[in-house]
Amino acid sequence: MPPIGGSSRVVIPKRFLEMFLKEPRFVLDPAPGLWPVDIRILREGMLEKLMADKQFAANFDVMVVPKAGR
Amino acid sequence: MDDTSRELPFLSNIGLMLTYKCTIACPHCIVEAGPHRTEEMPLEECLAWIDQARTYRDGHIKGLALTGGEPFYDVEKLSRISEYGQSLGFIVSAVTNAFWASSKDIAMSILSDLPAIRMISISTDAYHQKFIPFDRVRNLVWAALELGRFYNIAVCTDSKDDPEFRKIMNDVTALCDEDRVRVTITFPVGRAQKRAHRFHYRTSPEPTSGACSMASSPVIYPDGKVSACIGPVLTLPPDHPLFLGNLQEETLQEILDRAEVNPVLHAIRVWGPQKLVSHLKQHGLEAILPGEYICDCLCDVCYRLLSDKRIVDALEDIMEDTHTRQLLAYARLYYLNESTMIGRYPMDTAESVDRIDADTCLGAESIARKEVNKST
Repeated sequence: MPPIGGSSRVVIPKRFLEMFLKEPRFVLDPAPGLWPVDIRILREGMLEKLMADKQFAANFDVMVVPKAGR
Repeated sequence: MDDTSRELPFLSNIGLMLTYKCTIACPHCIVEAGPHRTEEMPLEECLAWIDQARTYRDGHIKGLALTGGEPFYDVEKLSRISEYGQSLGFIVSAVTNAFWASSKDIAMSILSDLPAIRMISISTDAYHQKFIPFDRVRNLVWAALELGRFYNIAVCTDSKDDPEFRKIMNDVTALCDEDRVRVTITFPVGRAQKRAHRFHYRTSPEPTSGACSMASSPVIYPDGKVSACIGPVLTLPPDHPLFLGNLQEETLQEILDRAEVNPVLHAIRVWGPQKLVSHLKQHGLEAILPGEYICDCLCDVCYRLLSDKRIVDALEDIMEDTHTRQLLAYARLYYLNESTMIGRYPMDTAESVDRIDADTCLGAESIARKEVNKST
């Protein structure tokens, strides 16, 4: 497989992009069995990592608010 | 919750099926777990596979989901494995039927002794409740709340109109928020196959639409086999694209690297298995397609397709097509912000003339700047 990492700018061919714009993706919960870790736990870790970034912490506050409609 | 926010990134979670042993033998169990089963993941191999998971792409895998069977059948082993996982930096979750939570005190005591388990997924439904009273679920939810552990409740049914299912849902939603409840469709595979005639499925000639998020979380079985998900395809012989490999023969890195560019797997993640049906129709292969599918059940579509060798062979041929792979590679980038297939299936020079800068056109469905390797 191609190695992962590095960076460069990627463009999406127009004919593909037009196709994707017409087909919004939606996800169904499948059945049955194992339920992986709750993504909210992963986000906790991501938030901790973000706040550990001194430059970020010096310039931003993070506020957690309920989603609209909840 | 929107569609992207409920999904885990590809391979950020991996499941370990610790055992086929279970305290009960539910009639709907696809892996046919029960007290009579003896197959378990040997502890030493389990820890070695966790080591491999930790080093994969320098910590890309964040979550370790312990399942079975009933992982709490052997609490001491569960403790060793969960603590080892946590010591390596994994977020550990476990599935259970709550049989052990016979009182609040006992639930609290056992869960306290398993501090590494950050999240618990409780299975309860008409099948489980024939053996395990709902009070045990209540006790476990109480203990999880007291100890600040995440939890969810999985309820399985063959019909959402079933009065018994509705009663259980009333009980469950009285206990916790609805966003903690996962409803799944009983699948006529494994032990449930023998009762298939009793299930009240709605069927349709068209497959269920929708992408599958569970195909992002592969599962290792006690014998080292690795499946792309824990769905019913795990009961099929290992000659279909969602069988990823065997840890007795290859390393986890080799298996997961191959999964990163598995076109059938990613078509299921990006669009859902109905995309495979569309491909087969476009190639004039309607005659070999299943005549009907269970409604609202993605697993049924995958299972019906991948249990037919003619369809598997046809899909492998179709997915060899360069255009199909390019479309998939860019779709992964667009919908899932994943660039690993792009370098492998680049567009030709003529195509590159007719392109739009992704940074300016993707909007909310994808982030602007994508990471790919310059060398590709």
